[in-house]
Amino acid sequence: MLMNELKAIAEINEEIKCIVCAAENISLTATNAVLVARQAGINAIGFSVVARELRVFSENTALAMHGLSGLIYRQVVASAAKRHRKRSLSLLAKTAAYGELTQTRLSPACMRSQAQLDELEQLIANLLHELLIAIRRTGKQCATGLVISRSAEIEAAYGGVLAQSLRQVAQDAEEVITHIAVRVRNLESRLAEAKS
Amino acid sequence: MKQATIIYQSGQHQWIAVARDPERPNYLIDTNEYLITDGTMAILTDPGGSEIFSMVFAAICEAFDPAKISVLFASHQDPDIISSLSLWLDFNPALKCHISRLWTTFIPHFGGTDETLIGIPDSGSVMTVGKLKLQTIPAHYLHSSGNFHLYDEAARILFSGDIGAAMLPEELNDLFVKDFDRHIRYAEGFHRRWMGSPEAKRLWCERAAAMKIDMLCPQHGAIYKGADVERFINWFAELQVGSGLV
Repeated sequence: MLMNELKAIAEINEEIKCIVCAAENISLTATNAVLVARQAGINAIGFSVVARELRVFSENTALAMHGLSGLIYRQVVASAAKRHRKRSLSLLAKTAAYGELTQTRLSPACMRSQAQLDELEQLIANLLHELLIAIRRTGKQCATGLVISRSAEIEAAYGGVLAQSLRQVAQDAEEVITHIAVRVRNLESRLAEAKS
Repeated sequence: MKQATIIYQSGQHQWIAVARDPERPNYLIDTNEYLITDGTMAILTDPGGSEIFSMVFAAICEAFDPAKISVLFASHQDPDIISSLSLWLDFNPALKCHISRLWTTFIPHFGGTDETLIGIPDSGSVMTVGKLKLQTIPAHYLHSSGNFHLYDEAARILFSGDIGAAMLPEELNDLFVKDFDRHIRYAEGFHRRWMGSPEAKRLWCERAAAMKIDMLCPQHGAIYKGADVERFINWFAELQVGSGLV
């Protein structure tokens, strides 16, 4: 069960790494968008504003993922400590089961160990809750990101001779943000499952 | 469960051997633990691995109040010696563990902190536990590079860690060596493989021969008593070790 807990955390972490990677792609796409908009000149001023917003979105996403990684690290530390504590507690309980004498001698140690285990379980539950809140916030950011990318597509139409290039950039951004949104949703349901 | 057997007693001063667990799974090497007490305080040598903590603790409870154990002595760093440390600390967080200074930053991977571990200098030390005065005897490279034995001059007993160890078959289950020639066959392979330095071995044999030892208590196998102590030292002095022999 505990090993599965660590396995689940490792899988969540892999998901986060994929989102970080996608966020970096958005950053590149947004930079590209700013450059194309500059080439398009005055016609693409609207697109240029939206492209900068896309870059802000990518920075915020990367920042959010960095925060999630920190939470994940704390979750790993707590889960490993819980695993260690649980094993100790089971060995202490096994020892106590030898008879009345061992039970009397080890009772305070078992109680201390159980209290530490309870504390760790509470900490893990709190961290999971924090993770869920953070990922939901990221989900909302993604929804905003999608709106921005659609705005970019609309603004691309005013790009004159570069309209086609701008549209392509906007579509690329939308594709990547959709990809991030899907992963964030997966992450959210995975976390909600772990919490229940 | 292991058996706790008093192997020495003079007033309150006792050596209790904790050994021979019939329920031990075959995949775990058998170990001997020794509890040395002055009646009010005690030191436990090579307390063992975490997997056998239950058996050791339960056996000690039958013979002695484990709350009076204030010090652990670890001859070296192996898991069968000291991986139970975190469990002992769960029981008594104030316990101190004496071990070669070489291992004081390695052992906390099993448990404990710098407050738990007391590093023994290479030249050895004198440990005082209650009225007990015990000498840590250097036995480096026999087999660990930071290795100590524990000598109780008053009881004339040497806890010799892996020196004297024997991988005995089930039928040779006695706590004490009864037939030296038969017993030593089960010690030979172990000593050839694990004792890494002929020079360290020579020095140890000279040192041990100069000490008054009535009992030589290894961490595995049976205890050498009386004339078998000298027999063992002579046998070990002659044994070829540490030249890449397998």
